[in-house]
Amino acid sequence: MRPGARPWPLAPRPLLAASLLAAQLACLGYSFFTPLRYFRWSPYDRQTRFSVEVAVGGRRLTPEQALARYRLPAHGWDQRSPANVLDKIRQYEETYGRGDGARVRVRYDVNGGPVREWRWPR
Amino acid sequence: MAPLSPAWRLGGGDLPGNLHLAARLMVLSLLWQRMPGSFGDPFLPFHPAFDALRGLGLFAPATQAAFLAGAAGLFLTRRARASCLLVGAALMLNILASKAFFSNGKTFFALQFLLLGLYTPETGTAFLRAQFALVYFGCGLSKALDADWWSGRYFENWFARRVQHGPYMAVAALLPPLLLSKLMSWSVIVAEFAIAVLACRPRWDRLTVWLTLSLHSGILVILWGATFAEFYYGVAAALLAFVAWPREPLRLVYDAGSGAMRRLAALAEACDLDGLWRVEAGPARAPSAVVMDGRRFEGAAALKLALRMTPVLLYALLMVMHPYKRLRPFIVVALLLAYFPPLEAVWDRLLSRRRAGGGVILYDGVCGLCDRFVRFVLERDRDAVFRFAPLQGAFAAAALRPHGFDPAALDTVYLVRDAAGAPLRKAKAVFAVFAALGPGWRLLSLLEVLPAPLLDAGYDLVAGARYRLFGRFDACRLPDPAQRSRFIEP
Repeated sequence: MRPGARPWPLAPRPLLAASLLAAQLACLGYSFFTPLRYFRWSPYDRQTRFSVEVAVGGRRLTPEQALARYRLPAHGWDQRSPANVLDKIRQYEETYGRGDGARVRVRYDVNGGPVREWRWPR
Repeated sequence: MAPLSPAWRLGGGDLPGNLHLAARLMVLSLLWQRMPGSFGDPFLPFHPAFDALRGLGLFAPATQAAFLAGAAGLFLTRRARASCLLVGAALMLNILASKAFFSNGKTFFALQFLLLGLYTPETGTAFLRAQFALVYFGCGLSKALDADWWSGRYFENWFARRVQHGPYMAVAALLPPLLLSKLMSWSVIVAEFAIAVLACRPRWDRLTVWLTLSLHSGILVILWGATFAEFYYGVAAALLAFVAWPREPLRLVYDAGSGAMRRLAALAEACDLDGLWRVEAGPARAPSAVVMDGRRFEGAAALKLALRMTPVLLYALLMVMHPYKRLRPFIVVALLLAYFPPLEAVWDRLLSRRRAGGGVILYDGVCGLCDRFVRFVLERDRDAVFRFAPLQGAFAAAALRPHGFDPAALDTVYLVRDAAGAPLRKAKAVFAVFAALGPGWRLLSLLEVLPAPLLDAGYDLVAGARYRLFGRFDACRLPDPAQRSRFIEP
């Protein structure tokens, strides 16, 4: 150790590194209380097939327009929980799309299970 | 080509060589995928504060500049840790600023770069190991808690319904419903938990590397080259943290009497842009070797070490694998076979210019097959490394009895290497003889990698029928006068 240097557990680099790991542990623990799985280290643990239909001001958007709106394909697969897909649409409509009066219908299934439907506004 | 300036060499900065190389490989794979080009304005961020930066036109260029500055720093070895922090921060900010940009693979890269940037000699690779363990523990836990993984429905849906994987569907049709997918599910879960445990202990580093590479390479092969965007390369590069790195330059000592080895050494020197090697001419006809921190490696082990410690080849490998998806399974399988530890003896035998040592072959003196085998060896053993003695003689009895073998068991051929060691018997003895007869016969000796009971069963089958198929003499045959000196008790 360099003269005058702090013992390594208290030095800034190890503290920051430990914080990064601790934050991930916290996210892992939190993920058990929410359907979202962004930071759970759970890639490829679900096969979610979904299709998105969105109408703005009574006019139905084309798949290309829907893709541009949410940066999600209108028909596609996601390797994680369907909650991740629905979360992006919900967040968009609550923020950037607020006031558009969009009506959204998402049909999805998980791992080949029964088809479910989610609508916005809820 | 001369090595780069010392200050620019791999490991010449504030990161050890293996971690510096990991960072370079990761950044190279991200550049190949044009990752900085996919940085954009915040969009559906994880924290609303990022939305304040939308439309300013600053976020993407700033993070792109940080990423590229970090990448340049890593290749020019200017403040390697700070460069890692720049790349990691650029990636992490983009992830946090956009749920559309988020992926587990990108998050893995970002955290690896950040932890590399936070490396200190005092903590060593402890945090990188913990990160690896955490990732695989999280992956295993998610799957283990999911009913569709227990039941096999996950893989069944993915392989049969989504990608319509022909070989999977063909094998699954032969088995009870969902059995194959359950096997796959539980193999992945067990492997992920095992990696999480193994990564914590440096003494299990080799196993960690092998298990992780086998898991991801297996998936890559099954899915015909799928690397899940950048993830495969990231994991492979991150495993360098588990690989021993030399404290001083490696010495390549080559056989100065061999033109081929001289050319190979010159090529190694030309590829060594990082000054990792000291190439030295050794004594003529002495085996070439690689010396790492006083430990000497010869044959296949030396070649494998040389390939692994030549970063230019790793960069080239990445550049070949990335664009040619269909080639990837073949490259990955070839590399796994080349580096698979149990196969090292096989490669040694193929690569060795020296023939395996000789000895005394003990054979059934009245057997027609044994007689043909002896004549076969005599014709091809130009260096006369083998001598011969019948099992019915006093030499065989003296050589076998101390090791508990019965010289009266005439259906076994033996090879006595030296008086102290136990003789080789049956198939092992035959293959050891083949290994000493020259390149063509050495290839045949590669069959030795098959399980010994299987080989001995084949040997016994032939030995049991040898008199019937090849005849029997009434007494031990006398050798030709010219070859009599090769026989003990002719």
